[in-house]
Formats: sequence, C-alpha cells, structure tokens
Amino acid sequence: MGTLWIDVTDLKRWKGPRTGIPRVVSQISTHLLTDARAKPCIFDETAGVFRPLEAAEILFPDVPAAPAPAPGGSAVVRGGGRLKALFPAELRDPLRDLIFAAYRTLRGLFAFLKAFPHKMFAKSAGRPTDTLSFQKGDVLLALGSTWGSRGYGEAVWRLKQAQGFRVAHFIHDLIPVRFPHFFGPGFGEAFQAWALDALWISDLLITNSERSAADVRDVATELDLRCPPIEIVRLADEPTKVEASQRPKHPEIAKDFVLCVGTLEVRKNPELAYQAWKLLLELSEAETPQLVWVGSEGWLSHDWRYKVQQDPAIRGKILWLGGVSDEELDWLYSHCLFTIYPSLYEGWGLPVAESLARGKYVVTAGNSSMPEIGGALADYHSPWKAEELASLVARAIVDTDYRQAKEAEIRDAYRTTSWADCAERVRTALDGHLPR
Amino acid sequence: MKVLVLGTFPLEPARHGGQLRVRALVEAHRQLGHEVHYLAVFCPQFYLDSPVPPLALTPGEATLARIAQEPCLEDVFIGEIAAREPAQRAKLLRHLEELSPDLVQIEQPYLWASLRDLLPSLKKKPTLVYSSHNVEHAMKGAVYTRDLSPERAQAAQGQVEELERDLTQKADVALAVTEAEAETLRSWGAARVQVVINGATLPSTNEAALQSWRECLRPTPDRRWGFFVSSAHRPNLAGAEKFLGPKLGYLAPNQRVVFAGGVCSLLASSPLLAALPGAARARLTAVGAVDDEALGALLRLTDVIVLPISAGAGSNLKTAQALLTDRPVLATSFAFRGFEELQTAPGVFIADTPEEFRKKLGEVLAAPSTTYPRSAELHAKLLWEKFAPQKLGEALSFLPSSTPASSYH
Repeated sequence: MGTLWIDVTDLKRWKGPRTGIPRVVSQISTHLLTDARAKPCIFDETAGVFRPLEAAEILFPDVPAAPAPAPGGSAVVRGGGRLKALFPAELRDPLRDLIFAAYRTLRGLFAFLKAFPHKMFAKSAGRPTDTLSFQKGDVLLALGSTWGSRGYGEAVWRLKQAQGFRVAHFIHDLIPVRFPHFFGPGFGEAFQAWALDALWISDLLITNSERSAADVRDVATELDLRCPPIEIVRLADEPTKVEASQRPKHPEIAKDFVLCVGTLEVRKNPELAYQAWKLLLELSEAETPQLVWVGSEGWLSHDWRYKVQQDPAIRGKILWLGGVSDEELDWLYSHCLFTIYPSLYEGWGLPVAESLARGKYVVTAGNSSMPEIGGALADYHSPWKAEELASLVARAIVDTDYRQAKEAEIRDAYRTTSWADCAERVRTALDGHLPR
Repeated sequence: MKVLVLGTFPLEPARHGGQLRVRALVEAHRQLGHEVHYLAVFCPQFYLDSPVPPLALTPGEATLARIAQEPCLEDVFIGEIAAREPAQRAKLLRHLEELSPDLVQIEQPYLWASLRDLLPSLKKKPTLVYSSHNVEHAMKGAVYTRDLSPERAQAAQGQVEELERDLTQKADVALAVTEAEAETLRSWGAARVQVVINGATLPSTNEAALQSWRECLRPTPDRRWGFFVSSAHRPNLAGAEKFLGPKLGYLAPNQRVVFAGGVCSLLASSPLLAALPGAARARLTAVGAVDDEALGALLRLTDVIVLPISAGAGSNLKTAQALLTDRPVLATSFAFRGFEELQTAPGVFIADTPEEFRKKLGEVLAAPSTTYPRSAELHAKLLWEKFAPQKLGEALSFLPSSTPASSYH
C-alpha cells in the first residue's frame, strides 16, 4: 500500500494565521492526515528534495495571535493568498478543534512533540534533515502555491523518474497565465513557466471550478501538451465560527453599507465599483449606501486607493478596510445590506460563496467561475459595465422586497460546503485516479 | 605570390560562417607561402566589436542611407561602393595599385560590382579567383521576397545573379563549397572550378569557462540541454522555429535548448516566444553572442548539438564544427550538404520532419548522457588546416609558379 504524501510547504513557510491557499492546504491536509497512510512533507528547494514531517508539526503549530485590527492598515487582512496576507488563527473545524484540545491537554506529557518540532521550525531556514524517498505506489499531493518554490517542477520530475511515484496537483487557478497584466512585472511569465511544469509532473489535477478546469485544458492545448485527468472539488464556504461578532473599530462605517470582500487589486475590479458608485451618487447621494471594501492591498491598487481617498464626490461613500479580523468580518457580513463582487476573473470566487453561505444576496460579475457558485441565486453584471452594476445595486437598495425574496431563496436553496466535504472529495478523486 | 582577398566583412573576431571561411582561406594562402592581404569593405555599424582594419573601405552617407532603406540589400549596396562613391573608388584603386597583387580573390559576388571596371585598368593584371560561398542569388531570393516588393525582389535577385554569373565567367578559377554548386558554376561557364568544402575548427576553451558555463546551464545534475548556435541570419532562425518549435512545451522540466550567437537578437519577434512566452523562456535559454572560449565550452558541455537547417546554400560550418566534438549531433539531412557521407558518423541523428526532430531531441535529452569520440580520419576531413591549403593549391595549380597572369580582360 502506498503512502499519500501531502506537500504542506505553504504551512511551513506561512508566518501568520492561515488564510487563502494556506487555509486550503491546512484544512484539507488536516482531514486527509487522519488516515494513517497519509503523511505530510515539505519541499526543500535548496536541495531539491522532499523532507518528511511529523504530522503534529503541521496540525498544531504555535499560531501567533491576531494583531488588533487596524483600519486601513495591513497587519491583519483577509484574502490575497498570493500576497501572504495575515489572518487570524482558524483552527475552527470541529474535528480539528477536538484533536487540538486533546493535544493541548497532553502536550505536557509529550513535551517532545512540542519542543522538538518547534525547534525545527525555529530555524527559519531550518528544515528536517531526512530526505524523503518515495516508493512506487506513493502519491504526492500538492495542494499549495508550488509556484513559490524555486525548481519545484524540475525536482519533482527528477524524483518521479527515479522513484516512480505519482503526483496530484491542486490548481487553484491559471489567472496569471491568461491575464499577466493583472499582476506585477514578471509574475505572469514566471507563472506560465510553473504551469508548464505542473502539467508535465501531474498525473491528476484538481481544480476548484469548471472554469479553472477549462483554463487548464486550454493552456495544455496551447502548449501542445497532454492534459492529465482533472477532478473538480468545490472549496468549502462554511462561515468561520467566531466566539462573538465584533464591529470594526472604524468610526466611518455607515449604518447602511454594501460589502465587497476581496484583495484590493486590479483584478478584483474596484474601478468598476468606483464608477458604479459615482453613477449612484449622481442619482441620489442620500439613498446611496456606503461601499465597504474589505481586503488586503494587492497588485496595482495604489491609484484606485488614492482616487477614492481624494475624490470629493465620494465623501466617505467608499471605505477600504485593509485589516479585518474574523470576528469583524462576521459582523460586516451580518450587518451589510448585501454584497457585491465585480471581479474581472476568478478561478473560484470564495466571497460569492461566503456571501451566499451567510444568506446574503450578492451582485457579482457574471464571468469565469462566479455563475458556477451563484447559479440563479445571485444577480450578474458585465465586469466592464458600471451602469449594469449600478442598476443592480440600485434595485437591491430600493426594492427591499426583491432583496428579501432573494435572501429567502438563498436560505432555502444554497448548500454550503464544509472542509470535511471538500477533503472527502479530494480523497475520492485520489482513490479513483491514483489508487494506492 | 602577393594575394589580395576582398570581402564584405572584417575577419576579426570571426563569428559568422562567411568570416570563418574567409579567415581559413587567408590562412591557407599563407600556408602556401603567399603574401596575403585582406581588404574589408564593410559597415562598421554592423560589426561593433570589430576594429576597422588598416586595409578597409567603409561606406559614406549615401550608401548608408540606401542600406537603412533596404537593409536586406546591404551586401549589394556595399558591393557598389566604388561604383557610386568617387572617394571610395579612388581609395580602392590606390590600394590595388600600391599592393599590385598577383592574385585577387573576391569573396562572394558583391564586390565584383566595384572591381569589374577597376581591374582591367591596372597595369599588372592579377589572376582573378571567385570564391563562391553559395549560389548566392538562389539563397537571397527568399530573403528579398520576404522583405521587398515582388518587383524589387525580382530585380535585386536578378542583379545578384548577373554579378555571380559574370564573375564566374571572368574568373580564372572559381572556388565552390559543394560539388552541386561546382556544377552550377561550371554550367555558367567557369573556366576552372575547385571544391573547397567548409571545414571548421573547434574553438579552444579553458577550465574556468567550462566551470562557469556548467554552473550556469546545469544548475542541477539532471539538467539536460541541446545547443543551437547561429548568426543573426533569419533563415537559420526559421529552421530552428520549424524544427524545434514553434512551441517548446514538449521539452520536459529538466530539458532546455540553449541558443547562442547573433540569432538571439532575433528571438524577440520569433514565434518561439510568441505564445505563453514565460513557458517558452522556461525551456529556451538565450546566451547571446559568445566569444570563442565560451563557444568552445558550450560545444563541449552540451548534451546534443542541434542543426535544424532547412534552407540556405553552400554548406554549413556549424555541421563540421559539431562533428569535431564528441557530442551527439541532431540534424536535418539538409544540414549535411557537402558532408553527406558523414551522416553515418557515430552519434549523428538525422530527422527531416519537425515531428521527428522534436521527438528525437526529447529522446536524446532523456537518455543517459553519451559521448561519441570521432575518428582522426574524420577530423582530417573537417579541420580547415588539414585540407584547405591542399585544395587551394590544387585550385591554383594551373598557374606558373613564378608570375601568374590572368586570362581575363
């Protein structure tokens, strides 16, 4: 029987509470590692080898406490997986909580479980010295941002040739391949190089949406490469459990506001939201609610932020919150009128799912993967037409019956996905394609 | 015997095939005991790393303006320098009179446009040697058709053909690169034709260069790479695009193709880097122009030398050079023009379709690294210094040993 080796390099590198892709890695691996035949490992890019880890190192790291929220700041932020945004500790999955509690109780008795791995982590470059030798029949599951590991594709290819294992790779999206202009100079090209290697080394690809799967197939065609089988696994959208909602300590948050959650970057299309709000303000300043944009500052966003802060016509009607805790986000979702998500392109689009999972009506761009999430429950606009977004927002403001009807529909029809569901689908995909 | 060789480029540093061939022929003359002078007629702007030699003509503004307008006709315009620029005509005549050569050897046909009026006016009529590198008008046809209007292309091609036919007929002896081209020259009425195939030298290198390039191109022990070296000659790049590309995704994560030479300057507009350029650049490493020491290192370090040549005339020095190494050589059969019998040499893989070529490249790069020591006999056929003096001597054997005289007038 082969071993399922889960590459948790992202978790080893991550310096704060887990969000974005590290959260995906953390949650899925936590569930999969309950199987005795699954083990975590990390990639050592200096040596071009994998190193085995004790599961405890990954499951129970000493996660630093979340700093106090800082309006407009960036210490604790949400979204922006590629920007290494910080985020409060999660450890919120019931199964994980249970194991965690047991571990805390027993940690005194098993001090080495804490001290020994911790010492290994403490060496910032510090890595275990064992080199993992894969066996034929093993499967390497890469869930994270492997593009961040120099030489990953070449090393995995070399090891595969020598050791005969198989590789399953979670492709979160190929947006930088298709849209390099949404990112900083050089990132798109580096990502294209990574995508080429990912296609070469993978025996199974897992994506989070039909759209991402189609993108992978398109890129494989463009590169004249055979595309490995693709399984689609819907990511979890269950609301984060918090002890108590907390209003952000920001005096400018209005009573009536519309929420948009997403890294403040050009791809998320804040420009369209700005233009739509300008149109709404021209029609009726009094009736136009505030737009609260929650997310870390990302690629190519400076000009937008400057414009919103300096435009006298906006006068606080658009507010960017760059540092929001889980507790504050919970409050914002609970108290917003509805949400918008004007993104130009997504591989998945978690904020749309989160909004629906919380019973909130969402107006979203109708491109890429968003319709897969929202179906008939959301309303859609062109990501290029501010008038369309403004019109849908205006209806949602003015026609409260419509909004409430949509919310009722969402409550009835929307099915949330838990991390346990998500991990189980990954397990099923692995068992189906790469039996060990 | 005093020999004056004229060409449309400087000889140092010798980078492209024409330079290498002429340098070898000049050296062959020296080995035959001749006093050799080389007169370069060229644009220094195109050879920035070449010092202007003492014996040189460089075009004035009128010629430079023509070149700027129709860059593909640079050779033609340079060749007409004496016919169009009185100052350069006077300078060329002065050189000819002062040197008073017994033998004038014209490399390629272009300078015949300037010399055909001047040579008859000299007091001493030198023996005339036409050193052909290709059936030039046939090779240039494709370039002119691509870059010029149909009428202009046809006219330019006709102009080049007239020059090479006339020079072939007027020369006392013509040198050809391959037997096939010798036949063409004979059919045009050449008095005598001697084949002097393209040879090569394997540039020397040193441990520091080897170490440096090894670290650069083989950062991991399993990295494998094929090597393509070429001047900035578009048909050469077209061959690489056709046989290696246009997409490079077929190369595995540990496989690369390394481009060296002037061809790298053409890559920015190449289809090789057009679609998903980041993915293409992950498999293609361009190291740019390299000196002999670096070239020597690259030729010795590569896992396979690729010769994706499908157009051109003459024969390819690169093929001869590749065979002087002990590395595998992957080539089209076209690349072996003039060396046909060497296609069966150890470690030579021939692939004549792009699919076969790419497949074979992948196979060679996936296989354990292998060397193919080639015989001393083969080296003797390929090294300039081993055969060029003898062949040149045979070409000039019709001359009386004391005072050669020309039959042209």
